[in-house]
Amino acid sequence: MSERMQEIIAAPRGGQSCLHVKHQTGLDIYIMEMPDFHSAYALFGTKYGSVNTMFRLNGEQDFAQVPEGIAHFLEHKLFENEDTGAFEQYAKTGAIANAYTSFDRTAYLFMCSENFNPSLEILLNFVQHPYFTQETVDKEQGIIAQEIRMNEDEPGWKLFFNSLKCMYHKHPVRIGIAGTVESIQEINADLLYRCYHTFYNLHNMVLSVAGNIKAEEVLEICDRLLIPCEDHKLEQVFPEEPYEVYQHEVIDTAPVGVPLFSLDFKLKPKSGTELLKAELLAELALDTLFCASTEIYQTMLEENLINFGFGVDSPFTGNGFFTVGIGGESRNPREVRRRIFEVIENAKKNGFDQQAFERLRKAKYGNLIRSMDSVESNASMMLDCYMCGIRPFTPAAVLAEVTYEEALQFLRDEIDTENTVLSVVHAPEDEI
Amino acid sequence: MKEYTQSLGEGIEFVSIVEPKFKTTNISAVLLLPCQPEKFAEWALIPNLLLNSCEKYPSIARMSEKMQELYGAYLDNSISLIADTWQMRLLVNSIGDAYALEGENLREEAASLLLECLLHPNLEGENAFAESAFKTEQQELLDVIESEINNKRSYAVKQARKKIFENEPNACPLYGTTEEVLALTPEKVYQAYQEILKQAQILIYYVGPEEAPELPELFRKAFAERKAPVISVQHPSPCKAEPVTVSDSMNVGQCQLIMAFKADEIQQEAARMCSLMFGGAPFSLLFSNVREKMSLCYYCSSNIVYGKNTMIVTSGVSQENLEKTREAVLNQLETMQKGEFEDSLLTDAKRYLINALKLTGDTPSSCAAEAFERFLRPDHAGVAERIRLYENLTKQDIIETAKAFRLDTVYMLMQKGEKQA
Repeated sequence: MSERMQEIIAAPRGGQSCLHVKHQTGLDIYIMEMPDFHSAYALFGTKYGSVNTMFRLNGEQDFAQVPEGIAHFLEHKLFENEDTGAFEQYAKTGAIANAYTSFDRTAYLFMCSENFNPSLEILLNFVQHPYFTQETVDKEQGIIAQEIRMNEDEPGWKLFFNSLKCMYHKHPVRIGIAGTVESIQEINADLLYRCYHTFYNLHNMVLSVAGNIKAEEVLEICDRLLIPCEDHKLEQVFPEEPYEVYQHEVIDTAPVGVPLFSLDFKLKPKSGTELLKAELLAELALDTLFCASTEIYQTMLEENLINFGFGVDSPFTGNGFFTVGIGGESRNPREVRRRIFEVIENAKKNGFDQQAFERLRKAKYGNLIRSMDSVESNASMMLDCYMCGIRPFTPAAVLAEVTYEEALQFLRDEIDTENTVLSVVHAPEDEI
Repeated sequence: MKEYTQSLGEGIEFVSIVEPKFKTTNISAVLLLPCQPEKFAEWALIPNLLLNSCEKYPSIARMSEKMQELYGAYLDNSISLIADTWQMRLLVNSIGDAYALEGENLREEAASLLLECLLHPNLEGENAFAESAFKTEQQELLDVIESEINNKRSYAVKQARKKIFENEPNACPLYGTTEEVLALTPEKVYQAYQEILKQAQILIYYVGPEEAPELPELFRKAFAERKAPVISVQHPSPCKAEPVTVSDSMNVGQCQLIMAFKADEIQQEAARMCSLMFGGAPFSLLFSNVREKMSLCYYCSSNIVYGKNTMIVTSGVSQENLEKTREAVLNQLETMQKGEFEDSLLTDAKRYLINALKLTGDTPSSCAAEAFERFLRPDHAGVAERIRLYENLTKQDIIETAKAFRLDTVYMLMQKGEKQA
């Protein structure tokens, strides 16, 4: 085996650091030792989510197109091995285990206060040993169908996906993570194996661990259990996506109380550190204009146009998509939209409150410190950074550098009030 | 970790937990009162009225600015019921002084701010909350009540509790009703606030990276001359003579099934272990059978309602599988009652619960929560003692506990057009 490469990466402030290892199998490993803590948290993730629907491997002629929701389906099925399930194995170590699938990733995780090493062995083993049969696939369909129904009954979910469908013409981000009750019927064991072997390649994956652990023990387990695999040179295709939104407004009904709304801005997609900086600028600029200390917030609250649920959402970004939204509850979301546009256009012309911007930057710094206060958030931060193609702790460094002038320029250049979607979900008996 | 508890007077305690590994400071005030459902609406309005503005920062805008200046410190609040005891929790969290960029004393600022909020609210005159703040909070509470329907699972549990705890305070809506909220006035709510300050048992929790010697005196002065009752949180709910089934309907894609089981008497650790084995973990009987083997649902889980001797099962299922799921849940309980489960299920559950207990102490909030749990327990047992209690449980203890649980209420939220019972 060739030597693994490793480096220590230190946070610019807060005294933390982590070890990054490029393992000889191709896996990126991030380890943060936190010896004062009792717990440990591990995530084993792959860059495979609901948007990765069209791909081919080195040497293949054609691109494969797979059913919607298959990444999420695969996540469910990977917990079952030939002899026993991963949950039964974790029951022997006491670890609390779970997994999640998002638009651009799938991650398997556990948290524990003891037996970390055997739990890590379980994690590395079950994720690397898939076992699917048509019988177990059929059985899972009922469970996932209920998960889809549960999500469909969640008005916030509906609001969000309705908006994405209006925002994007073709990009697969517009489809639900779990797919539909119909699309999951098309999934079979062969397709699951194909997706597994494409995306669960260690060159496309990361292991992130933090807490009361020892780096050398983690690496010893990795050396022993990681199965070397060839880099398949995965190629993916995302359909050409126009700059403009597909549709400016979507109004839907559901059993809800006060109508929910989200005003979402479609931005030009970016990647790596450029994306990270853009996310920060978007959030800081819009927070400066609409957070609870602003006049517009106060006025709309007093006029009962919004309630305390109103606010700027964290930017939603990934491979080929970038949106930022402002939302909450309102009985007159179109009027809220008009006011928001007015404030933005005015700020583009005249600038915005620089003191407020600096206060919010300070608050953001506080939030970053706060996020270092838990084992779980540190492990998640390292995984997030890998998925975004940046080094751990980069957000703190970028935050220290962003300026008011950059935020204002970003607002002028990137936040386009002509390129938005207003998504509303209201009760059938209410009028909007 | 260094911890001490100090009595600051009758009905008020200060708990300090110093843990150098933390980067943030958490100071919370927990106020406990015996339930008075007729006052739920006015009590529900108080936490937001106290934290969104105060005399010194008399609007949400000024308060937000202050929070931003304190490096994004946040004020948080919650209200809940612990058995038949009403709880209000106010919290301030800020980063540790070591991380302040300009040497600010953030801990003292945070503590002072919490006290400002608690004791110097935004008033108009001497006996009423400021009208504009009151109006905003009143509307907010009305919106919260109206939007309870949004989350179908929690909505179903709230509806079910009306029947499960019929004629008990737990059946009453925690935020009051729309009519009750509309009937409130700034004067009436201020009076309720004064009563809470005088009558509540108060617990102050400080969790931070360094000692805070100034805090006990600060809080003692603030609450001098109080005489508050000591609160009990064990109020078992009587089991109905015959199980009751109720249903509701809504325009939903998935139905909600809520089943409540009650016992006359239970030992707390045995009940928690029993519920975990029944439906509280991915290796539990409900997960392994109702979800994994029968593919009936995405979730089917159980939990214990503290101090009420009640175990509640919740599941989201399709309309045609409602009855089948209900039967399956009852069958799995019978399996437990007959002891027809592997010994390893108990061993695994013990390991799982003990692992979870040992996670305590890694976040400021879990430290405060653990100290509060100790306060609530009649035996005041800490983590080590609770681990011992779990380890000593036998299969027979679990069988006896499972046998003690009898079906009390079944609630179904069905698709519109379908209604049963």
